[in-house]
Amino acid sequence: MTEIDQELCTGCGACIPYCPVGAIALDEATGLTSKVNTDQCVECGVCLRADVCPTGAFKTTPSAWPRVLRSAFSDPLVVHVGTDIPGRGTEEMKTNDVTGRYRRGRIGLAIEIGRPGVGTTFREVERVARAMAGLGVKFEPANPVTQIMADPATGRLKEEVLGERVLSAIVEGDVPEESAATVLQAVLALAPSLETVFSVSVAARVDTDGSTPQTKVARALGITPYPNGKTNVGLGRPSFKEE
Amino acid sequence: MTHTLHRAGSPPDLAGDFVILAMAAKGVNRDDSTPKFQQLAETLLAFNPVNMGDLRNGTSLTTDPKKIAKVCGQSGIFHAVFTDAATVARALQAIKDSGIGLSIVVSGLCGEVARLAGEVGLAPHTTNQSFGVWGDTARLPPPSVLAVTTMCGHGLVARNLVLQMIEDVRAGRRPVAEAAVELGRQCVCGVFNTKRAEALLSRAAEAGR
Repeated sequence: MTEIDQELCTGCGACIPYCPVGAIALDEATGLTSKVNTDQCVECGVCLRADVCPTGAFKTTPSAWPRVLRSAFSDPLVVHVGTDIPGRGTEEMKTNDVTGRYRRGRIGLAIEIGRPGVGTTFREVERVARAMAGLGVKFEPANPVTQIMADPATGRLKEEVLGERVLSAIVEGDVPEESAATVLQAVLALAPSLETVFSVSVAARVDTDGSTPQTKVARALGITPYPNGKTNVGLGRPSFKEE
Repeated sequence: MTHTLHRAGSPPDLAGDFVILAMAAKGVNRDDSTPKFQQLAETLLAFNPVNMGDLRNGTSLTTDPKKIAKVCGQSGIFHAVFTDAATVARALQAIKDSGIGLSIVVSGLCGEVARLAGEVGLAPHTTNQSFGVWGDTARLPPPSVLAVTTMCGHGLVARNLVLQMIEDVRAGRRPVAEAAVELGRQCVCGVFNTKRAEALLSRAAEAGR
């Protein structure tokens, strides 16, 4: 848990704008020192690394389960045990030329709840996971959210994690190309009732003619994707045989 | 994760924003890949990226990039940021010629990246596209701030810090280049484009005058 030593803090406020979720503020009662709202804090580590406190008043202590999930999902310098990579996601399409994880005919979906910069509780994350599970999405086993599911068949998360806050968390899986629009429709239907934002990423193998299957999915949904994206240019040495 | 996706902005503004990412796959080609990452970092360093990093050894904004290139690789990932298409094309050619066999992902305007790949004889293998931001979007900062904060996909660049930097630049308290670096050093991956940030901050500061 990250806190500010009240004996050392001078209340200069230099640290306040650095917090991505606005969890640092001057003490409401006295206005003389800054305090971390530990309910809102997602343990991303920015305030510690920013090194702007003139008196070194920030202190951190190891968190126990389930609070430890806050840093695991919010601080990219924490390596997840399950993925063995830093950050809150997986290798997804980044190594697809080597792993063959997404084959032609499949679409990879990654719904990142809380991004950009709003944050979320796992309660909201579970709502998205349940909507996707109901439509038969197979969740990526290596994904950190999948690993805290009590039941991956339904998308139900472990009860004790639901109240934990993180900067964002990714619900990730892949579906047959023909189901992608239906699944995304179900996810987008949650938008008006969620108490946060979410970013939607859609990954697919490029077709032999150079076209991308996402175009069809976007058209079915009436969505115009961002003009920018990620392209794996195929320089990795494959470990699989193309079907 | 998708940490170089969802960078917000208009096409003209995004035209100077490219990230080259290299990654090794766990259980496939990650073991003993450290020297390959170091070779790649040296290769990319020759093209003067505005930022680079590997999550373990700092970024160009916190550490000497030559030092990063010498020691990087243990995290299985490496990033470098460029601001023009011609340099990206030359960098891709150099990576291709090196034959290191790591997966290479280029983030940028999709049509432009496809064109650059074609220019160096590469056929794009897999793409990842953003279908946008949904939900309670009233909680988001204005587009001028979002364009800056989303250059750190892990969300470590705070909207309030961007607003403070805009105000500092507007008031003449801080040069825009220094403001961009202060924001960029919060991003631990080295994917924050400081040159693009300078343009965005200048524009926002000017609009506030």
